[in-house]
Amino acid sequence: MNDRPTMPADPGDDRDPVVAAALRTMVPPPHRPGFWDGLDARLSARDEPPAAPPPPPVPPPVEEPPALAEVIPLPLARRSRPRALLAAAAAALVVVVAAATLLRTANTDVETTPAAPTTEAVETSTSVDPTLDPDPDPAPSTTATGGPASVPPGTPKSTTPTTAASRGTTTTAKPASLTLSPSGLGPLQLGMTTKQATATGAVGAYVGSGNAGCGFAKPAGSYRTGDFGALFLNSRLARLYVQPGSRLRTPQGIGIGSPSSRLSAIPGTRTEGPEKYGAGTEVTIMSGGVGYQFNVENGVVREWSVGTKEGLDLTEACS
Amino acid sequence: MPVATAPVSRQLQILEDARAGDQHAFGLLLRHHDDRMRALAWKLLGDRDRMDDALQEAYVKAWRSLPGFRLDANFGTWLYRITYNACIDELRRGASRPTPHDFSITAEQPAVTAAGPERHAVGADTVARLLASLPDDQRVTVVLVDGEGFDNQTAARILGVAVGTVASRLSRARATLRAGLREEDR
Repeated sequence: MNDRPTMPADPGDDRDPVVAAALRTMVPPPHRPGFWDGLDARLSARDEPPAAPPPPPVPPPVEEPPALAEVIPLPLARRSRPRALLAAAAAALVVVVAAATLLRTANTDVETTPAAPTTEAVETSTSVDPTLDPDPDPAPSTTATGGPASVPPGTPKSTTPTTAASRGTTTTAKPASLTLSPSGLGPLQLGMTTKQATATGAVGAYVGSGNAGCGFAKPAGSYRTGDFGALFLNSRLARLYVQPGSRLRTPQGIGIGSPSSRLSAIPGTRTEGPEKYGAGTEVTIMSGGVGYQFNVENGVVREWSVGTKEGLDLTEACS
Repeated sequence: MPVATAPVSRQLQILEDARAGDQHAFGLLLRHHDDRMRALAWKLLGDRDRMDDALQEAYVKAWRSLPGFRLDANFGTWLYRITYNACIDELRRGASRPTPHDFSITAEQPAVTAAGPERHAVGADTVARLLASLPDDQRVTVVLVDGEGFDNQTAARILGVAVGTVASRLSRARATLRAGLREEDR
């Protein structure tokens, strides 16, 4: 990570103990009454962050689908942004029209099957935010149904194997597994590259491709109801974190709301300490370089993650 | 504005939601960092109204700049820098020196006796007065490193100066503060 440390360093690193002790006496007062309401009003008055970059034009739908997914910005998927929704709809329309054009070409030339990459691109670009989809339990993927179905029976295999599907590397998400462990979740496995993870169909577009290869992806396909997030470090899946409300469980059946006493059922080296920012306790159970991290409050699991040690050490953003 | 503290492992999601324009998520982020931003602003400005004014400016500016924030950077450090700049602007708008700290609105703070060979029993008002006597650049540097616990390198990144500059400012600020503390202890 190129921006460590996230938080102030441990006391003693660069501090002058005498001056530090003196400065500790200066405890700030609380905000004046109405501070947050005033701030809310100011933020609402400028609801649209003016620095937001406009959505880039949608590239032609014939290139590698992962590349298309990476250039679709997340703001397109915000439910609260009518303008972004329009842009998303327009982008999808462009892709569909292009797909139809290519499909017509395919119908006149049975040697090619160009529909697959197009429909996969649509699936990828619209799966960034599951809340955009009014269907809470959609079909796993249009790739599996839309592409091959558009090819007449007996059609020879594509002579333009430019898509992940045609290479056999895209595995459309199967019905979502509800078991999350350090082995992963369904087809998702810790250590996968961003492209490998996206190709499973269990997560959508990778967001945040900075120099450190750090970012995350949201669930996609039949996994979009899983209420989890996938964190990537150095472009590899380092952590899967479960959010409140999720039905995901460990192989031992532990999930959100489980009593913390059940954590003893998980084998591994256990460490425990206070949350850095929250009021609860952080319980980490590692085994073989990977493990679980549970955030426990009032004796129950409030949230939890699986990940590599480096992934579980993160507290915010990529550091 | 939400009042709950954001759970730790949701930070990434919240950050990305905020970056995408979700004001509620941004509020969670601010709540998460507000204590430290208040500490910085209080030590630099010494007045609650000015502290709040500067923080509102900083938070509004952060909101407007958030879409450009890179996920591989650190949000806390980024927000510290914005808050620091807002405080400097606030100082420039007012007098060249911070307003004397009004400790009547803070909790009663016992005098602290520093550990180590130099032992000083000082009160918060004394520390505030000594801190206020420092030039702005020295004051913010010593607040970040000795007050907020950042290492020199991170402080340099927040302030946008070289690490050597931080070390030099620290040296002068500490010498002034230590001399003042010794004087007060007599």
